[in-house]
Amino acid sequence: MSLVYFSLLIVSVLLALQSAYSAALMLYAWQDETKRRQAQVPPTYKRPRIHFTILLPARHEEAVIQDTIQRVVDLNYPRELMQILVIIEAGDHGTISKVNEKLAFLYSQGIFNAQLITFTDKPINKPHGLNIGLHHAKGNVITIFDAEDEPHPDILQVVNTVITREFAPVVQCGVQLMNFRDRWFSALNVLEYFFWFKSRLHYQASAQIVPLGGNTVFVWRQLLDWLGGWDQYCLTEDADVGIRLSAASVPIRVIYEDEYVTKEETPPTVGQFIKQRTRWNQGFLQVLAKRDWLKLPGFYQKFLALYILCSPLLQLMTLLYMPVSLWTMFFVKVPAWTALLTSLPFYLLIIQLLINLAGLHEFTRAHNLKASPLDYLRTVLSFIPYQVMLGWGALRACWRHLRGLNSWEKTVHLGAHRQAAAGLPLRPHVPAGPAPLGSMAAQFRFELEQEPATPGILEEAKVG
Amino acid sequence: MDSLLDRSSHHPYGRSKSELILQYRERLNGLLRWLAVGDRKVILVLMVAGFFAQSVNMLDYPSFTFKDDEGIYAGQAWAVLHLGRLTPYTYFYDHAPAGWLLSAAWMALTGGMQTFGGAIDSGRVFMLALHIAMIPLLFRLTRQLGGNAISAGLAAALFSLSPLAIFYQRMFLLDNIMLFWLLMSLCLLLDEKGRLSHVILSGVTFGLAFVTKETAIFSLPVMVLILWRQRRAHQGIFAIYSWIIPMVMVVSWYPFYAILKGELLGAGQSFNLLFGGNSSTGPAVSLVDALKWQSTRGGGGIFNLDNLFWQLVRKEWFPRDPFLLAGGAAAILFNLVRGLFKRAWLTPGLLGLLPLIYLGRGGIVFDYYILFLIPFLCLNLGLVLGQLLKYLPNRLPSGAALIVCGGLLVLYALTGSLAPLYTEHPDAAGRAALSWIKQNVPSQSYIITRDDLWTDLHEDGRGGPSFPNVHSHWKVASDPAVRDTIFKDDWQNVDYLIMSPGLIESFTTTNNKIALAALSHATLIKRWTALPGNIALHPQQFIELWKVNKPAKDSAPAQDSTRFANNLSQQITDIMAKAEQSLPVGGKKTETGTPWNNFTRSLGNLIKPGPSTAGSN
Repeated sequence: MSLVYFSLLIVSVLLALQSAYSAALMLYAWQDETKRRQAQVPPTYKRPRIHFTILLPARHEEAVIQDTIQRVVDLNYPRELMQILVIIEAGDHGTISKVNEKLAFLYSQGIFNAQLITFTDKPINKPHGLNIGLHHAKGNVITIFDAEDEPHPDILQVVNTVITREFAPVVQCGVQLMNFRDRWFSALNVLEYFFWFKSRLHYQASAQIVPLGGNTVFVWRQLLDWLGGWDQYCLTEDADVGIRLSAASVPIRVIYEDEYVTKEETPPTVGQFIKQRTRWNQGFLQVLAKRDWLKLPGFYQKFLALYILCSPLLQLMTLLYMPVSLWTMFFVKVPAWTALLTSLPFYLLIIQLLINLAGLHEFTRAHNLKASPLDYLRTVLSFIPYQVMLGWGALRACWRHLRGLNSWEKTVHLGAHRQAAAGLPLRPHVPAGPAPLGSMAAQFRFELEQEPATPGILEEAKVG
Repeated sequence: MDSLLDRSSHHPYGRSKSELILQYRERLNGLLRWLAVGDRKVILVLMVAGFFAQSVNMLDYPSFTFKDDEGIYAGQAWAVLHLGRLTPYTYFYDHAPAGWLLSAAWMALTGGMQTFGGAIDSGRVFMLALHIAMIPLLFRLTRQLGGNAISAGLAAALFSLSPLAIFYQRMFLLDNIMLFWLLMSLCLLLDEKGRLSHVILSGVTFGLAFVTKETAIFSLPVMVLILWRQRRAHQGIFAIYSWIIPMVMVVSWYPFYAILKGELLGAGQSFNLLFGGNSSTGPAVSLVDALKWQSTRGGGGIFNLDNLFWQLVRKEWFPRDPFLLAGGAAAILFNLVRGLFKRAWLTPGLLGLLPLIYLGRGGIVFDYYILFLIPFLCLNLGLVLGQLLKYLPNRLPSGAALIVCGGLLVLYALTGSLAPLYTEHPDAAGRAALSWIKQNVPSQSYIITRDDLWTDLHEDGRGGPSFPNVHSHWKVASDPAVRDTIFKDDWQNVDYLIMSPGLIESFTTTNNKIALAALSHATLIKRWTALPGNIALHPQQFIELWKVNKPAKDSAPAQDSTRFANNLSQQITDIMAKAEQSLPVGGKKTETGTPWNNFTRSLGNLIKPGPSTAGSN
């Protein structure tokens, strides 16, 4: 019996430690003034020189795709330096016709930099579309927007400035869910993004291990070519690319300013939410199984990668431990100090809740929204159910991952020859050694100098 | 582009060992720089001076038999180490336990309770370490609150050199540990870079201050004021939350512990029933009742010029150091007044005012409660003096500051409050008594004593075995587990009494019938008297060993102790007065000191060689 208590103690201390660690990561951005300054958008923009290729992968997005294309075309950046590729699987006739409609309209306006690309081979998913896009890309820097995204109009100016100034090979900008009031779980979902992009990602960038987000991420085209594109068989190809870039010692620049985030929306239903979460968690488990993270250069980086990729499992454990902790505290005769220690994870759960409440205040303030006392109350009440939902997503992902291993192997065989024909590796891993950033930077600079200066745009334009 | 190449090849986690060492050296330097806002050398000198001022003769003066509070905390640290419990007797929430838990950790880390002599001696060395640590903290705090280097130096110097400060800071008391956490919390909160991690740590350390001694709560308003005034724009609401939440978390462990033991509310209150019947096993104690008791212990009322506070000011504090007390109070007032016009001065003023309010509130005050006020007296006086000296022409101010310090030392010496700290040895009586008892009294005897000798008698060593049946007179008077279970409410179960000044009064006020009855049947075996010094500053110490004479087993039962006790204390005082006259004072030196004891004593003798003998006969 004492062995049971002892293991309970160990588990509770470990869970408390991980919870404290996660709280520290959540608060990293607020540590001091320098942290904020690093994440800031530059105060002045440089002359646009970078040629962007914007990938817009879409699937069954009839409702929004036209608006999205319009928004991207309207970005505050010279059109001749933007290549917009809408990538759709050939069977998705509804979306394709909508896109064609839009493109015809744009041509009539004299706008020719957007173009539709369709593909017929399997698998039908986002990373495959992205790889097709990469094949057609002409710009020096590739970026991705999802069909429901609302990027900030100046985002390309910002990234152009950062990359030409710092020669940053990868830039990740903030993505933020906005509709914190729509559903009972929306506020907490919004806050998850808030803390992830505003705080945690900066810490991970400083530790040089960043699982990238799915959009508003900017990468040198040659670097993506060198990496072998996206992994078509991974459910979270974005995180996978991030891990591989980190393993190749590529520094990743993170920018977050509340005004400049790409706005998105939370999933509309609990079912959708759990599906999305299952996909992410399963994707993380796949990345874990791919073992690219083992090639990260430092021990701490490996640890951090493992920590991030295992977070679904940790969520699950914390959740399962809560009732055990409460039960031990009050209904089992143990020494008081043992009970105090087993209560530690419980304490830290409360801390997490309070951090979230403070985060809600900060988030609404930053975006000139107003959170009513009712919103705070709803956040408090939904906190535990939300953890349950996350835990359920994690459980479901583990189960599917274990059960689905065989069918997944089958998918690999299915697309193998086509993949090889396209000249891309089947499942890209990290190439040996660090990325040859020096020669890439030289090439990149050479390409930039080939770009003609755009008339009418000052070298240093004031923001405004 | 070059910077890019640097970034990719210079990996922060792939560095060689020498690079790592360089990195850590850099961090260490950073820490030192952090510690010294002003002049690192000044802080070092102050720390060395503070070490000597505090440590020389510190185990001998004040005597460890002077206050039994030191003995109580030593005993509780002993219980933590030996019994794995918070107290040797029933814990009744008189104070939160963090202070003696930390002391127990100190004793465990320094190789046991007897490394420096007795348990209280070990506690005193711990106090010395904390004092040395508090010097840079106070220096830094003064700088952070707008003082120049001279202000900071003066504040730290006063803190180490004032006889008032030295007298109480040497003692092993929770107040000293609490102050360390409080100063640390203030320094962290006033971090000039406004780092969130420091705000969090400040909250944690303030929580620790509270669970060391609850009086820290009187500083809470000014902490919140600082927090509010210097909150950083970029931290938003986290600037406030990050202090309050960790603080509340740490503090909450105390009531939470009580809940787990079923001892939060008083006996009979329904909350206990919620969490099982734990409370039914021991005597009924509760946190809420203890807090009520602590906060309502009377002291004469707030508007009474003869309340405990003013008595102590006149009799205990003012004679030791009138300059710090009067000057510091004036400086607090001055800072408060100019704080009305310039808000920055309000903070130090309030830091001083709040402990003053606590002391003068009219409730119970013990002489050592002044500890809470001392650093803030020094802080305010240092701030004002340092700024006055700044009006002097170039390069003169620092010289003038030295002259002020030197002048104060001369004044202290002239008023006679400085010398006894280094030359008198009132502890000799207690030490001699302890070693004689250890060697000559049967170790299984049932003994009633004050707490000052309790721990060393219970601990094996120091010239004899452990005495497991030694009990504190407070517990004999009030703890049913001791009074009724161990002594069975009968004076005949007492074998010896160890008496010291004022103990009879304690017996009477606590209505300790067992002890009074036992004493009336006892005869004086031996008496140890320390040489008298400056009696106004430290009462003469004596210890007496009384043996209880019991009637033979087959004779009639003893008188009913309740009836007997009523007129007893007067009788006993008469007996003791007679005993005092019959026993001559003086004799050979019986003291055997530990190496540490000899060290501090020899340092004292260097200053002024004097007699260090104890009377014994």
